[in-house]
Amino acid sequence: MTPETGPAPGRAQLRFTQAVLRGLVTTVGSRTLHFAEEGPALGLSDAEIARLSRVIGLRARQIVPGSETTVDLCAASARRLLAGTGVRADQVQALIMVTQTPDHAAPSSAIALQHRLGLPITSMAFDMRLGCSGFVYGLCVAYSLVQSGLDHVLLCVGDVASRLVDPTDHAIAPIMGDAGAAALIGRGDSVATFEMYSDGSGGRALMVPNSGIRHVPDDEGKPARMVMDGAAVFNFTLQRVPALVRDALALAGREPGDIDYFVLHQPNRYILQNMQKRLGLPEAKMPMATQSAYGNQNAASIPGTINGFLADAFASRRLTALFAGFGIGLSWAACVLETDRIYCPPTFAELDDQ
Amino acid sequence: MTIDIAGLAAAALQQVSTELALPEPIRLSDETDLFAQVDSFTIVDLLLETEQQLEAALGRYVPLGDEAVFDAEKSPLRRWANWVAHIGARCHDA
Repeated sequence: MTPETGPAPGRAQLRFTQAVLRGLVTTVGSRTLHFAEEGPALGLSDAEIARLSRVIGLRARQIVPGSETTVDLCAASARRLLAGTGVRADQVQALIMVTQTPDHAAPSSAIALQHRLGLPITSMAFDMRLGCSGFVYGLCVAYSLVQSGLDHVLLCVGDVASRLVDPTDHAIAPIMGDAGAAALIGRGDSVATFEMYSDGSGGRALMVPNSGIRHVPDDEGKPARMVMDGAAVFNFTLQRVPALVRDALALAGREPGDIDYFVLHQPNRYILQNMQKRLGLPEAKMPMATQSAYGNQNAASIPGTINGFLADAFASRRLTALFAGFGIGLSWAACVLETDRIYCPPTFAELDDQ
Repeated sequence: MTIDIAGLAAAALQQVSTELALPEPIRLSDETDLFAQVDSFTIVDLLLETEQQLEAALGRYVPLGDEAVFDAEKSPLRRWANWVAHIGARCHDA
């Protein structure tokens, strides 16, 4: 792809020149669960607890303490973000919500959030149903809206994943954390490139059965809880993500040394370490601790990593970053963009007063 | 530098087996199908342990995990001799 030729045939490659990220806020669930304490209740032996801690990096996760929803977490993040950036609610022209845990099947949670935040009825609001690739996908759409003429777009991403999984499933329950993040995208002169992928043939590797209109005989009797084929997801990640990072760099015309931070979705420590080594990236440029501290934050894992571990860097200087998300669908996406002293406070561990 | 890859691979498996207190010891031969005997978390644990032992022996990191490892048909772990060969090939490539 070049500015003159456009995207390569059949590729979802996008280039923006007039949109910038202005701020990021993440709010996580206020309840802390330590894996060493959770493990016995899940039927895990001391040896299994030690193994999962070592291999996956499980230490602690943050979940909502009660009936709070993704919309609640995102609303808190969005209010903090608007206050921190000095943008009024009535200035926001679009709200995109990326979540797998909406308040209801219908209407969209984005419209509910539009009302809660006091956005004008002249704004647009819609949901995107994605998980771990969702922040990059959502950011791409937000950039598109700004490039097309809007001034302020709110992107809200997250999940209350702890309520989406079987709490007794030791393969997935101790991994999931709850988080809701908000990003503000506005107008500015800056180049950002995006590369997006989808493969529905892998849909059953990570899914919530019996959760929609379609009746699938193979899923008869299964609860509407997220299930994961760990081996298939592992395969997918190691097959697709290193190439995704290399292709995103090539599309942006960048070398790894040009990138200040590689912020990837945080599934588990082994996968991230494997990719970090295979791509030859310095450990300091690729944070890997989010899952150990907060759990798998799904669509919020990229902002969660930034607010959780890179807040000072993103708030204090101009940076070039690569974001990469990958997961349910299957879907995967990456972008290379520049930020310049964005509003980026450390992660909040409780809702605001409203 | 030459190392005993077969010995290192067996030692890594022994370490993982000991940590997990597997009920039955895994009897190793060239034909041992490890993929069928342990779960996916154990395989990741084995990758991690083997990589750590390789790094200690060679002074450099050698990534062993790839998209074939968990493939039910292609995994080198379906046959122990293939797994040892896989490690050797990765050491050569790294």
